[in-house]
Amino acid sequence: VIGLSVERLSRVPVARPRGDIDAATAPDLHERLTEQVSNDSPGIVLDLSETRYLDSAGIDMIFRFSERLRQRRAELVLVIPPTSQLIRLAALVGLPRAMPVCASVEEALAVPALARTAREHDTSAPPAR
Amino acid sequence: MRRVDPESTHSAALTHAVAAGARDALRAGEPSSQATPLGDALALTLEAEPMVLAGLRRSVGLWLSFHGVEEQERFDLTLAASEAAANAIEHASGAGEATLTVTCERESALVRISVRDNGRWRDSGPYGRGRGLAIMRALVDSLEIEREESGTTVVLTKQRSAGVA
Repeated sequence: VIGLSVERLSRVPVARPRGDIDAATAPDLHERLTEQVSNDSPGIVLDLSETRYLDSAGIDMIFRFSERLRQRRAELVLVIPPTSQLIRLAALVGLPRAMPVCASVEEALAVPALARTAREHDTSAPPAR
Repeated sequence: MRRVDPESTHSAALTHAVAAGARDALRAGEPSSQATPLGDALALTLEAEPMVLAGLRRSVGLWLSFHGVEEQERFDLTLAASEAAANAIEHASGAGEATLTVTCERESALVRISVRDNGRWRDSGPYGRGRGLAIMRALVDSLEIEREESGTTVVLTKQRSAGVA
C-alpha cells in the first residue's frame, strides 16, 4: 500500500503519493483518490513530486480517473516538477493533451477549472476584515 | 579495474531485492552470459506478483548505477524492465507457482535486460497492455519478444550514450 498525504486548500484536495505508482499500487490509489473528491469539489491536484516511477498501469489509472472526474464536471490536475524524469514519460503517453500538467502546486491551483470554483467559494464566505 | 568489489555490490542489490533464490541464480549463471564476468551480470528470480515490481526496479537501478549508467538512461531501462515484468506477471495468472527471471548484462556500451516468464502471452490482453509495449519501445533501442512453449522472453537493449566504463 502506497503512502498518500492529502492537504486541502479551499475545496481542492492536493494529494501527494509517497512512492511509485505501478501495477501493485495503482488500484488502491485510484480508490483512495476517488474518496478525496467530494460532490461539491471542483477537482483534485495529484502531486507526483515524490513519485519516481509511474508505469503503464499507473498511467492508465490517471487517464481513467481524469475521465471519471470529467463526467462529474471535476478536473484532475497533475503536478510534475520540471526536474522529474516523469516529464518525458508524460509527454510520451500524451498526458498533457488529456489534462493540465503543472510544474508546481501553486500553478495547479491557478488552473481555471480549480481556481474559478475556489474564487466562488471565497466570495460566498463572509468578507475577511 | 574496479574500486568496488562486484560481489559485495551485488549483495547490496540482492538485499534490496524481494527475490527468493536470486543469489543461487547469480552463482549458477545464465547460459547466455558465458563471456561476461560475474560482476557484469545480475540475475533475479521473482514471484510473478505485482508486489515484486518495486524491488525489481530498485535492484535494476542499483545495478545500472554501479555500472555508471546516467540517470536518464537508468530511468528508461529500469521502467522498461518493470513494464516487461508487469506483462509477464499479468500473463502468468492462474499458472500456479509462476516465476519470472530478470537478467541484466553489460557488453561495453550496450546494456541488455531479459525478462523471462514461464507463461504464455495472450494476444489480446486486458485494457492497457498496448500502452506498456509502446512505452517499452520508446524507452529502449530494441525490444524483442521470443515466444516459446516453455515461456516468453522479452529482451530489451539500449546503447549507452556516454560515460562508457
